[in-house]
Amino acid sequence: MDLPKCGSVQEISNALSTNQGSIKVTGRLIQHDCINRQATLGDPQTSASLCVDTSLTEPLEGSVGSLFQVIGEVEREDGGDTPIVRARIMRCVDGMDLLMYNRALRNQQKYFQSRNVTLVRHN
Amino acid sequence: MIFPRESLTWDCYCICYEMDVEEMEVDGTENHSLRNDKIPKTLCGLDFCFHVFNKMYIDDIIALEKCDVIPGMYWYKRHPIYKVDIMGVVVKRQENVRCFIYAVDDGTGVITCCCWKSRLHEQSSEDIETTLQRCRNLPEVLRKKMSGVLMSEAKKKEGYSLGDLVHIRGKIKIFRGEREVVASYHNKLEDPNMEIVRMSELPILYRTLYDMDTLPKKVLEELSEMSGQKKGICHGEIVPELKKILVTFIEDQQPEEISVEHVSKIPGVTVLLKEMKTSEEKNTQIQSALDVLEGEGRVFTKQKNHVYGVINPGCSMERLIMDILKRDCVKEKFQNEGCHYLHIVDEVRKSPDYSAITNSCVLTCLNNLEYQSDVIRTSFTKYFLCKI
Repeated sequence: MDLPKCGSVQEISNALSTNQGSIKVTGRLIQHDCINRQATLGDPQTSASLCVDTSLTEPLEGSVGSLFQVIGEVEREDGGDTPIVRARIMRCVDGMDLLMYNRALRNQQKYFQSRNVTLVRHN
Repeated sequence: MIFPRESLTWDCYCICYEMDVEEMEVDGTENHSLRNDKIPKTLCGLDFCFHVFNKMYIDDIIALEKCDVIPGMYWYKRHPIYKVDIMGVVVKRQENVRCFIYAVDDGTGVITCCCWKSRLHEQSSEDIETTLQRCRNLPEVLRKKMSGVLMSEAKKKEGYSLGDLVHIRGKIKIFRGEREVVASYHNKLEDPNMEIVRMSELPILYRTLYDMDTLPKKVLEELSEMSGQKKGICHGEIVPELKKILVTFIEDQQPEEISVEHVSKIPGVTVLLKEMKTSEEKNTQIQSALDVLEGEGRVFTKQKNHVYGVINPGCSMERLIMDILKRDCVKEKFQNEGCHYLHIVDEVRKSPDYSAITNSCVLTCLNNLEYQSDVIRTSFTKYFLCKI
């Protein structure tokens, strides 16, 4: 069975600098254009924002101002600097504690880094 | 959408504070040399990971090593795993006649999960409305409850949709060449904070459980030494094997006495102990097997060294016990219920041949007498003669 690629969890600021691949980002919906199928996801902490292409996930449940989690592929427009995420899954996560989420995410990444370190030592 | 946040976030805070402790670095240096040895098949049950639905990253589940010895079992480092517990977002959904197949993504990997449909749902084709009509006579509260239950059942019938956070527990199976989880429990989670709870739990679980060994280090070292040497039976299993051979020998031949030399000449024993080099080692093994038998009451040490008398039906101790009972059962003290077996043991020990006899030997003898209907057991501990 063809499985979709796993979305590695990223913060919006990181997502802006990744080149390709599937990611999972969480942010607040700042803008949503149904007709052009575009949305903008913003990080409440920093002021970074990310463009999302919602062709596969319209109609969207939830309104502007809700927290959303997006899983999709990062693509860069031809010659453009701004990346755009082609969303496969848009999930409303209202009620999620973002501080806790970021903390848990950092701990998870710390653990994965320590794993890689021991692997290197072993080899 | 309002979620009951208070209790949940408190738990999250607790977990996060625990995690912030930087000193939780695993010292992996000692385990490196033993990393490649696996626990033998018989000891897998000692590891709790064998019995439990293991919360793991999907990435790790996909990368689990298959176990050659036990089908359906996989290894994570040195833990045997066959059941997992995952929590993730549904990224692909497929409905078949009998089951739903979801692809679940938790941020580290994607795996397919198979959720079987309930047979009951196939059969009942009634609408919610008609069922509610039938329950018109119930009080209001129960009717509301009934409609709530029917609606949740209907939702379950439809399955989960893309983007739902699901919690799945099940066994790892291989279907058409791909690894998948066959769900025995699956549920949709409404609260997104559960994802955070799981993300916080997992690194701690890994550091304290999966990356550590269950068995103590000395045991593991001994196991790895043994697996290098032995081809046949493991060291700890020789004595039980010997014991089995001795028991069959005693039951077949019914000798009056056996000695260590006698035992070492039994054909089964020579095969078993052929790997031992010195006869001293062989003798110590035979001695331990005989000691075990003594503890069970099959043999007893005679006065000469290394010679063991065997308790068989018809041995001389039986005659002694019968004499003791004939003498004592007429006495007033024992007339009602019979002699307590410890009294019998004391009397037997008075005779010079059996001065060091164990309780279990006397009990075996008494059991043999009971089989032959010479003695009757009046209570749990008391024996009486059948014919005076």
